[in-house]
Amino acid sequence: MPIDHLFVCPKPLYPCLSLSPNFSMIPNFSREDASVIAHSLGRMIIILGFLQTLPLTLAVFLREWPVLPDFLLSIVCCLILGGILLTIFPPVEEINWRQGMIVVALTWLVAMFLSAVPLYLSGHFNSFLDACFECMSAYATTGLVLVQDLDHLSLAHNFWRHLMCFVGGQGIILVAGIFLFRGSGAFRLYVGEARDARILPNIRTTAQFIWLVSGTYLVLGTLLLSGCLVLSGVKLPQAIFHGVCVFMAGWDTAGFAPKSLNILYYHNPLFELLTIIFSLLGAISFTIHYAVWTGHFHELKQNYELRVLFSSVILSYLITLAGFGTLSRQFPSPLAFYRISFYQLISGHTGVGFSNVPVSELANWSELSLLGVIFAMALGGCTNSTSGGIKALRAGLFFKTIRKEVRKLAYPEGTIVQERFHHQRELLVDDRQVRLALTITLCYIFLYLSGAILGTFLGNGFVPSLFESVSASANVGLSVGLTNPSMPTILKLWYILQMWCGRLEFIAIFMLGRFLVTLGRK
Amino acid sequence: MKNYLMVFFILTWLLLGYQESCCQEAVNSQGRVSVATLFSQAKSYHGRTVTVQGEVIGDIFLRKTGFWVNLLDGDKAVGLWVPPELKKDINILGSYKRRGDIVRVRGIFYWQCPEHTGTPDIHVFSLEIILPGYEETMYLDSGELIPILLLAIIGASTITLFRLFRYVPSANPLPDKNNHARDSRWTR
Repeated sequence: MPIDHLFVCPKPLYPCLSLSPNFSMIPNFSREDASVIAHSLGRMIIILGFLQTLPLTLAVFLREWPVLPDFLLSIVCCLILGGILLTIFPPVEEINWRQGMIVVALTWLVAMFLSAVPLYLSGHFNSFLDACFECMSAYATTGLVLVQDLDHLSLAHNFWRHLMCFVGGQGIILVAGIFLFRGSGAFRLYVGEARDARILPNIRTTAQFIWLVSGTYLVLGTLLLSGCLVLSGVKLPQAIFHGVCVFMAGWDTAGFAPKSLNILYYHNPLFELLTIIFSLLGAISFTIHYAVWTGHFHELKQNYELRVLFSSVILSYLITLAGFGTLSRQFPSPLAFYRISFYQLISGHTGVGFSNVPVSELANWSELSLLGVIFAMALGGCTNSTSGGIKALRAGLFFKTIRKEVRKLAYPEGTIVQERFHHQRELLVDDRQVRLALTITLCYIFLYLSGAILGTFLGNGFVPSLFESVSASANVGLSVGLTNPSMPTILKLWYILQMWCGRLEFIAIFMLGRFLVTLGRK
Repeated sequence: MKNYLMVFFILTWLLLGYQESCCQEAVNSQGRVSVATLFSQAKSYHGRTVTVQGEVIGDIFLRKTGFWVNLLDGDKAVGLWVPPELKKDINILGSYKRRGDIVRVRGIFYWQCPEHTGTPDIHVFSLEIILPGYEETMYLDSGELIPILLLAIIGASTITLFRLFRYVPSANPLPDKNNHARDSRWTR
């Protein structure tokens, strides 16, 4: 969410949510609101249907005939549902903030259900709930999986899993909405998806720039990753498939992989290094990408958020190392130790969730090492990136505020103390930004703890439960083994909620809650 | 001192014996161990010769002194580091369209392999095909398409009907007392 938007936008980011005495005066949602929301939702569902033609085409191309009905049914469902909504509810010129938020929250929920249809029909999931879990995990770029016998899943279904990661990471709205909604309505939907970077003056050109960056890296990443595999003797079509899938999951910090062994499947340190590079690039804000693309390389050095990110990487790695202690001597060489420990940590910090060890390996780590990774996962990457978690800028603002308060006490009474930081340009820390940052941070902490408490209540240890909960909420995808098809249904449902809330950063979900409660009230 | 040494040796023997018995519990009558057991008791099996059985899946990754292939046993997979002369024994690798060869391999299991910078693997020295792989038959069941076609027809008809008889609000928001029908209209 949108903290840095506050630095460029003179108005409050969420006018409808300003914490003023007028909060209780927010009008209830009316039937007209519901009509606008339903129409917009219909548009999104139609786009979702068209999106599924990509794996369908791949299935035809690869002659995976049994897969066709799975996708055809899902596409027909999307077109009918979307068509009915568009027909019943009249078109609207523009949607307002409140409606935009609810459209976003509902789109993600409906997309989860509709996208789960082909996955469930593949026969690789125990239940429809498991397929829904997989879809929410993909859209939210989490990477926790419940798929079974992944190694025999069709390429079309596998591609669909990774395409969902790409679409979710970029933002469903960015994929579909920007081209369907005009004017400021598009920006409202864009913000609802926890993005707010006005890189360029126009939201459409901003979206185009984001697609330009992602498209360029997609080509580059696919070439490099596929090249790595071709050099290992893998056939070109297979290598390209793996390259595309791993890139989409890495760049969008999702952590899915086409095979059950995840990145360990490739047994290739160079391949692992490339996944680290692309996931780091994915965890960096698009505003920084823009600065670099336009030749402003000094932004890399000066950007405060980037500094906080790298400081937290070092700090969390030190905690992890301390946790290893004498255990590190069990590794055959220092290189082996760094390969395993640093990969998991970067994977956790960027939120990508790739792993080059089996799940049981993480469960063997000491609690302090796990806490180091938990800290990294909880913090996450940059704002306006594809990664999840609290985000480096919010953590940075928190430390700036502490420094400001300490300085206030140190200076004579009445002295005006100000803290500055560089994020695209020199900015002052003001109370409104800090309040919003802390609100979101607190929401995240509650979300992390809720999953941990539930996991502990269900008979797991607290640290593993916290690890899994943070992994789900911060959209990371590393696991110590709690997430599996036989886990309790309540935990699956809770993790779905955590992934959804964590990806959309709460505000849109809160608005949806209010919408459901007040709909129809006068 | 003698007593201490005696106690130490007895304790060591008991501990090693316990560890051995733990490992043996997981080994079946054919002397083979599952991949899940290997990972769950990784420290116990580290550096020991094991026999595992499963389906070879995915791709072969060639290296200068051997090649990598992955073996799937139940829902767990493990990497096999195989010498080049055994490559000819593997014919079909498992995927969506193929069931890979079921092989029984014997080799040394490493939890943190010293040769391959710390990742878990099995260094294979013998490989035997238990059941050859085969191609799956892929066909489109036209019976599955009929309900989808019916659904599409019903859906399209419903949308068409909605479009034909939808309610269109009037442009004039003020009600006309004389003629309520002018406030709004049904198309048709």
